[in-house]
Amino acid sequence: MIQRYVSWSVIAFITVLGIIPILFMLKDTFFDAQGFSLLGYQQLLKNKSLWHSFQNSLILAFSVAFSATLIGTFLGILLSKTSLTLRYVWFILLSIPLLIPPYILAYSWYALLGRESYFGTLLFGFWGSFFILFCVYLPIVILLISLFLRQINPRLEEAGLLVCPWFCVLSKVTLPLLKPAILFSFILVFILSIGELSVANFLRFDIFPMESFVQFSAFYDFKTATLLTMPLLLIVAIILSVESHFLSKKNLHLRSYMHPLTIPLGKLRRPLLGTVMLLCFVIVILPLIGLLQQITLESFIHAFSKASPALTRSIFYASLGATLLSFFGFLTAYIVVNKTTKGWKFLRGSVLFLFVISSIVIGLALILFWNTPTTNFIYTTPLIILIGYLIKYLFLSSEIIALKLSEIPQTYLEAAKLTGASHREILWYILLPLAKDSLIIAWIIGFIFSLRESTITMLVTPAGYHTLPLYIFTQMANGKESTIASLCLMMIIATLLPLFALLYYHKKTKGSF
Amino acid sequence: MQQILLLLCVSLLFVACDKDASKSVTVYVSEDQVFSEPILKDFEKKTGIKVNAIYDTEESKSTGVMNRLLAEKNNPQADVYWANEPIRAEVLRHKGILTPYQSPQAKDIPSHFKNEAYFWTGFSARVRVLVAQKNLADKPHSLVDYTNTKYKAKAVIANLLFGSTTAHIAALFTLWGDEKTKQFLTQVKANQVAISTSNGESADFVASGSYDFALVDSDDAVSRIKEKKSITMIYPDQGKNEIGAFVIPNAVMLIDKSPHPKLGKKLIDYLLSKETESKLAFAACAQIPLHQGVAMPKELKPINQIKTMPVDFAKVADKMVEIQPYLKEWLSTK
Repeated sequence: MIQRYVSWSVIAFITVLGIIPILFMLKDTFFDAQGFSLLGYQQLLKNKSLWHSFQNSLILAFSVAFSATLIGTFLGILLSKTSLTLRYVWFILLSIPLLIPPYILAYSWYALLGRESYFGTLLFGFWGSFFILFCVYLPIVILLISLFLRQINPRLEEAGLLVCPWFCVLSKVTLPLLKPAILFSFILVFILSIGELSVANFLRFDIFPMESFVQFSAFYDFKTATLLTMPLLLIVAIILSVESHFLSKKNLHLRSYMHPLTIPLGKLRRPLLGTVMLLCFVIVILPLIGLLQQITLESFIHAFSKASPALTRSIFYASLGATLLSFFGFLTAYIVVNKTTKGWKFLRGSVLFLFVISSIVIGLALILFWNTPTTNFIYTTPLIILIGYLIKYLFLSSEIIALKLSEIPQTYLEAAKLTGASHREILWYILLPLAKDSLIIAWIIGFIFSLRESTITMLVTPAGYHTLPLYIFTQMANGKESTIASLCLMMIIATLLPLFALLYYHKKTKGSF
Repeated sequence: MQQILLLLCVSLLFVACDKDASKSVTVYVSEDQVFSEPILKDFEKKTGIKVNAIYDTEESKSTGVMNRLLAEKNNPQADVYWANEPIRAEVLRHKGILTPYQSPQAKDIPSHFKNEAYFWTGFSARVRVLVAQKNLADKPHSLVDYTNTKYKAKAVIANLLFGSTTAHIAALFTLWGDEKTKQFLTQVKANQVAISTSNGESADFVASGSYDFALVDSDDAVSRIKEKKSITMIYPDQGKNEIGAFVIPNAVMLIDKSPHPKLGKKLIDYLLSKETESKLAFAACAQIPLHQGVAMPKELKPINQIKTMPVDFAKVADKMVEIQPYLKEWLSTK
């Protein structure tokens, strides 16, 4: 009874916070002054110029997802399953671009190449947008592949090795077993790329989310702006239905094996090491050089003194946001994995819908719904920022925790029930301790995404509560380049904080994590 | 775990406690933060009134706060809006978001830089100027030089879809009419004029010798001249039968049903003062004061010595929306 009550409370909470405000906005796209009308959608279908940017978006997202999945799968195997020298160092280095907000990476490359050099001109347009997004999302694939490689039973590979060499085992045993992870990585990167606006906006590449943005920024037309987010939602819905068809939950269950087999590299060790080092240099070191070359100690101190309140606020809000994300992520994951109520499908669909829909639409929906005299205590305080973080990123944290919860054997819970343990005790003494690692990862991912968020916060941050990304963006308009570069470096350091905390925790727990 | 949840609840309560807003004024600002923030800080020091500001970001193409004002119409949070041009003020006026306020400081400001019913008042202006290479023998003097074959493939202009360039083109549409302006733009295209991403970039292209001249904002020109770059600034179309330079003032306005209208009016008075205009003239944005007799740097011309383009900003606002599809098509065709 309590379980069902809690489940419905969570569903109601997410519905009120995110779904109702957005449905309010979506409703307007189906009505005009005369009543119900699909005229807006008809005009959208007829507008040929829109299809050009739609095509651009699809090509960009597909190219990024395909390249990142291909190279990320190769690197994931290389860095977590081979005898490559210093592989953990390369693993951490290659994860750094994920921690850097995409627009800062774009700015770093701009700072390095300028606008007029040959590579500078290439940067502005498709190739630059593709490259930056590839760098940002490549670590996601590497991390996912590494994670999923741990679920492959080493005995299967050992059996394969009895009849053929490693290359053959990789192609006939390991990679087929990795298929769900590869498909999942591709879809995740595709969804993230197709909705990403800041990089293409900075690098002047015409993509479909820009059409919605122009309606919003040039015409102040909220209805058309919302309507223009629909085609991308449709594409994502199609892809996700393909995903749910091909990926059964069973395939995604994690059962970690502590001693996975290692592939000996032999003569390939040096060339592969060289390739990985080169990749680290291009993807991580070069953009950092671009930033650092503009920074002096004086400019950094000056920028820090100016931006420290925004930095402190950002870290505080991101920490709170991450904690809320972990808390509700756990509850959502628990409801979805254990199907505690009939509404579990609605809940999963809702958090996915909120993750996929444009941040601009979320921001406007939050203003229109929450900005009333009676809810001023939410709208005029940072609570509105936290709501934005929560509804946008709940999908990520709930999925991470769900993967872990689905791994916990049902027999544990049944045994606890037989001994008379209550739901609260099962939750407190069995599930939470067993899901601790995934809660920590969900917290870190929540922290990173909340800290870097700029679109929703741009729209809803109350006066006097601006965050560091907003401060950086306001400085980008005519601010000194050394100041902007210093602020970007501050942002990177702040984003790296949880990674350092994780390494400390890893060391403290003697690698049990 | 229980301690974490307790800490979370306490933190949320702390976050939800709004600070005392009775002695503060909320202003939404589209002028760049690097220029506007020092002015607002000075106001705080001088009056003791706390200013809560929301600045526009580069990411939102300076329209984030404008959209907030529209979305917050039924429960306004801002008292004052400081726009970096009056066109948005006209959009807001049409949508019923502003309330008139005749500041005593607005008396000396020329009438074409303020709304006749005082829904908005202009101050400290940018001028759309030409920048040319210093050593260029035959320098341009008019916008029409963009169509002069002498400068074929040697001129650059910022993207027509954004910022002050859009406003400038819309102003030409209101002044010349659709046919003549479209003909002009067709000739500009035929003359292989390059498109840059911003006015600043256009000025940099000219300074680096990539192009002979560009149309930019006066602050872009002055900042590069101060950096000793090899460019010269030309006020365009100053001849007897020419249209004059397009002048874009900042605009300040009071929001209807704002939470603190009295404090908002005090801030408006301060922004419209000669003191503020002088500060903005000497700042890196080098904006031209609209009051007479305000001290300014030698690189700038006083407003009464510049032949200005006679424009109705309300008409420019309407035209900007109307010409967007045409400009998009113009940009996409070769």
